[in-house]
Amino acid sequence: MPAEPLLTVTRAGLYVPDGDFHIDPTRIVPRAVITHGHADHARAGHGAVLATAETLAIMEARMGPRFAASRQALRYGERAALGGVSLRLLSAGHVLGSAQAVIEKGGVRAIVTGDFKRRADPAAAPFELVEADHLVTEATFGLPVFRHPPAEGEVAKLLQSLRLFPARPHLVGAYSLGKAQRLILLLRAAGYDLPIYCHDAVLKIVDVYRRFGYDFGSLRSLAGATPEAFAGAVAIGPPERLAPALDGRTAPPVTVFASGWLGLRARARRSNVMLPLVISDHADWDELTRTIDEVAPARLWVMHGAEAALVHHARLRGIEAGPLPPAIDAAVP
Amino acid sequence: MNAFAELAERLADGPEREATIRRLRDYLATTPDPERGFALALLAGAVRPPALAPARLRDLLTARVDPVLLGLSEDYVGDLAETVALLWPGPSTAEAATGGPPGPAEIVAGLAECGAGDLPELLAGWLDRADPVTRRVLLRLAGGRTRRRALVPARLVRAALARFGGVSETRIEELWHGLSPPYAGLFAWLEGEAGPPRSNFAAPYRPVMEPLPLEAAPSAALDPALFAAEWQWDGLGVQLVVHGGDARLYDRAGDDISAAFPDLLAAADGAGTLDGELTIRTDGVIGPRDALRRRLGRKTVTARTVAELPATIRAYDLLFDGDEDLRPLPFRDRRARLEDWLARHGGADGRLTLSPLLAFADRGALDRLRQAPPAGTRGLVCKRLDSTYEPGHSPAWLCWRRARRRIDAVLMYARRGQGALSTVHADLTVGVWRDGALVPIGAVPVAPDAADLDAIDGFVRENVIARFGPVREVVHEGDRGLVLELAFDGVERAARRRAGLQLRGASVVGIRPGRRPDEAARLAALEDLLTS
Ligand SMILES: [Zn+2]
Repeated sequence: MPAEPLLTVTRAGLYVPDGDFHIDPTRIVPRAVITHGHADHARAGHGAVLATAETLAIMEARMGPRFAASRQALRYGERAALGGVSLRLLSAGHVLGSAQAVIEKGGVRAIVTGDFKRRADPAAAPFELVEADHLVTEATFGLPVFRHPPAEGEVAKLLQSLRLFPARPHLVGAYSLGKAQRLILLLRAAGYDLPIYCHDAVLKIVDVYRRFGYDFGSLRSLAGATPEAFAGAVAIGPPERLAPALDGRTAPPVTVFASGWLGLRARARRSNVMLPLVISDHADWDELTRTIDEVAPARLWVMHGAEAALVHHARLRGIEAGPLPPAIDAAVP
Repeated sequence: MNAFAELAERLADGPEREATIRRLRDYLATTPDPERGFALALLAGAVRPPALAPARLRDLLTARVDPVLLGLSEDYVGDLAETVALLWPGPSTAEAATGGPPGPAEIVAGLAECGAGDLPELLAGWLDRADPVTRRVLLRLAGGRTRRRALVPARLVRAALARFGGVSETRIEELWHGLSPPYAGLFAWLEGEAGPPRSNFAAPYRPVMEPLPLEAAPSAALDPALFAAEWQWDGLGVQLVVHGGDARLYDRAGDDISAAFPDLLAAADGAGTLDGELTIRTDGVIGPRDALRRRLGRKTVTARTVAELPATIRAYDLLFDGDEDLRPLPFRDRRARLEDWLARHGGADGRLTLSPLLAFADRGALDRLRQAPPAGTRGLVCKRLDSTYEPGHSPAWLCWRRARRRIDAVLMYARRGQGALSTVHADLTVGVWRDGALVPIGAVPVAPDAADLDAIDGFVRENVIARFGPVREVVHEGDRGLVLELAFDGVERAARRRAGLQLRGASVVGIRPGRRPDEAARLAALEDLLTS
């Protein structure tokens, strides 16, 4: 490792001093690289924003056209020179447009994964792997108790429930960016070709996906549908907004929720849904450890979640590992 | 996907009766014999595996998993069995399991032949072949804090069978306890291929009638011309059946508990089916429920235990007199037959006695009675004189309990709850004051729907002063600590407890905001409430 690290941490988050930009900053900054469009990574109000065209489109759909003073789109694999460093975005497999930030200078490479997953997703480009000297990984599911089952098997449970309860609407709670689109495409891949009712928050994002060539079959707005239409139908949207949308006009719904947390029995039961589906857009323990092993960094920083187990795993492999270091704020806004 | 494990997991979630029945019926209709029969046996708790001690379970995992990862995981998950299910280095899907995960037939056969000593190895072999969902079900069957007898309430299993075969639930309930896995005769009958199966028992269980709380029918005319009233005894609801040279004692759910109460089997000298409440006669030093627990659940009972903790039944209904089915008769007539039957067959040693009817003038008189019930009772049951015997909770019988009492107590220790509450501290030990010090009065669960669940959990996490295994001691001083409001049914002596007493039916109502710990209750106030 060189004496001057490629990455440091400020109060706004990860910072690249030689390129003078932040990655997914939590405060407004002059220059930001945004890994993907989820609200905890993409904020409005930065000066210059660099991201994939897909992420920029998602940000515009969610925050309006003036979400940043200027923007620059980068294709996966394309290089941009930012100050003294070279930046590439590689697919992270998390949601549409999600990227890992690869920063290089003088033969040293650092990767910030952002949110990622390794398994196939019909609604996202596959994860791309490169080796690096310094890896910053997310750790949402950074404990060995989290091993997600194949999503296809979980969707099969939803189809089985539709067969068992043919008169009841199935309300599938899912985040409107990523999870909802993935579920729709998984249902289509499993042969479900009836119209799917979507909350408008989902449809807004679906429009962005469609512009980038995704085909979801017949989708309808939850808002305009008649109660009869919901009998035995699938409705997808943010969990807290689904039941009110039906407004008690239908047979009692079967409540479904798709989340990686539901792999824990206690979480599934406290969620109070009838059908918990363990489907996550984040890497599980096996994917996280495999990624650390394959990227084979000399230094690892772990952020967003449970750090201790991954740090332990990495140290056993001789990697200098720890949680994100404290902010070194002085010169940086 | 392992259909049996998937079903068991879905049903464990199932607060919704209709969905549970439908899933079960669908499974029975699509699964061949004998698999479905063994699955049914496991779900309904008809197979009783030897218990696996948590320490053995932990041993299994420590031999296979990095201790640091195990520690972090168990701390996060909060439940050992769940941690083992998730962390076990086995296949991630049923399809990836070599030879497939163990199915119901294999599980039943394995558990039947297995002694407690062989269980860890048997279980480990199965876990190696099982996906996480199957692992979780295996562990619920075999061990851990979440071990229960039935994976699904037996009533729902019977309801599903009734729906599957188009027969009445009562019919299923009557047959069920006399049949054994894999229930080939039962399925043949339900699918219309044979007549009803023959029961193994000469003295069969009959589904019981139970009261609803008065709140279910608040406007009921509790008039002596329409209703009879008797005490609601505080014991264990039982059914004593003497028939065809056999005598058996069942609990209210129909489980055969004859082995634990040989003294009662000999109490009656005539044939019939009686409902009553089992209580243990004690010297007043042991709480009656404590004594009952000591006798329940034993495979065999020594003469000494029988002599020290003698069991009695307060009989309150007669379902059969010999072969004659009295259930279609109104309560008034059954009651007369019961009195007559006890006079002839009840024996003279006082083991089998009548639950007396109470004289009352009007509803107000009943209200006064139920507010001051004698020792060993919880309140009243009022029964319509014209009601026939209908299994299940019937509005013809109404129980009117003494109002629950409330006190303030101080949180002293906490551990995580079970099942859905395993991520929060919901198992709380509370104390009250004696001579300026707090005395623990027992562990009290928090209801899963308690509004303050998260606030209590938050207090525990921020105020730990010591750790004993899974137990956290929290700050509890006169001016620093958390005061909780408890509701409880009664107080009874418990010689082995430091407080000398324990609360019955206690639960945490919530936090008492603004109360200092030294404003909580004194032990003397509870001693005043001792009922025995
Ligand atoms: Zn994300």
